[in-house]
Amino acid sequence: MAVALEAALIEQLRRQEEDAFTAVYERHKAPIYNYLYRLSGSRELADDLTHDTFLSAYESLPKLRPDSNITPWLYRIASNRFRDFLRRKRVINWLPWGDSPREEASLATRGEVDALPEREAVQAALRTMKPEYAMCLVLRLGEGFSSEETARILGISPEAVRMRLSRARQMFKTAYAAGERDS
Amino acid sequence: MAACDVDSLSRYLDGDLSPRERHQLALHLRACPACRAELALLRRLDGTIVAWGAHRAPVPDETERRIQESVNAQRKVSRFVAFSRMMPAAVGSSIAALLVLISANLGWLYQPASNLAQVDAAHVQRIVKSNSEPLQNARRLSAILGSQTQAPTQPQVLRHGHFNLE
Repeated sequence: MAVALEAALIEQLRRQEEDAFTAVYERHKAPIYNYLYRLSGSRELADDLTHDTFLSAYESLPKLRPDSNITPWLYRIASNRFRDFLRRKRVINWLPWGDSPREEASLATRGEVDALPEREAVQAALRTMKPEYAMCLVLRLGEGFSSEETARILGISPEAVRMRLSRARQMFKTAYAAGERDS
Repeated sequence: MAACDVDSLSRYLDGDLSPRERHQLALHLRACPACRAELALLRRLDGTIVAWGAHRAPVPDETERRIQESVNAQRKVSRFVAFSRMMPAAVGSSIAALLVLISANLGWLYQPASNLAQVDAAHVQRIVKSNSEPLQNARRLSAILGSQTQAPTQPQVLRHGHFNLE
């Protein structure tokens, strides 16, 4: 039943039907926005990248395959938009990016202040890592994708994902410990 | 006994070890406090990242408005492109239908067959002469074969003023 519903939705999306796209957008807007914020560390960047992701997604709808899985497909587009940003950043590398801990604190909603230090520490540790390793860790642990789904999103093999996860865990361990010492 | 291997610990946390590999790791962990401590630390850090990932901030209203505007604009472009692609085929079909309609109703534009005075008689003579041999051959052939088919005795003048040079 679920497979049939998904197939019908894919067909509507391929025709760029408004209701179908709106349903997909409503379901995925918060996860995609938060994923991009976790990668970029900046709300302003997350705003821009989320906008670019859904616009690219809408333009790519006619190319959807009947057996496509919407969620990994959207995350793949989001990951590619983030990579595009990194490539541009290498060209203009003087541009600062990432919210400071003070900005993060000012943006926090009431009730989340207690969890801020730990979230800041995780964000700070991820920011020290090479993006391809950070993306692996965020997708696998932060977003809850399997190794195979992570591989499809990043366009690499499942074995490459496993290797990167092992390296990423060691990098994160070192950076997180350093952050705890400094705080 | 397997040596210390952080890759195996990572794969174990992801559930990617075979039963044999899990058994080997279990044997190693019994004898290696350093790996036991490392596994416990990695497991704790995994939990920290999972908890961090569970927090979801709402999408700002301004971001949502920008997305809606861009998608709506793109929707209009997509519709225009789709219509433009249909246009050449539609226009071509319409023009072809119009031409058929016109040609079927323009007989009055052509010379009537009886108005031979406007036809170049000398030109006709030349054509008949150049075709006379084939006409004679056709008559001989039909006589030999006893065919009922009759060769034309004179050039046929079609309604449109063109000669059939057969």
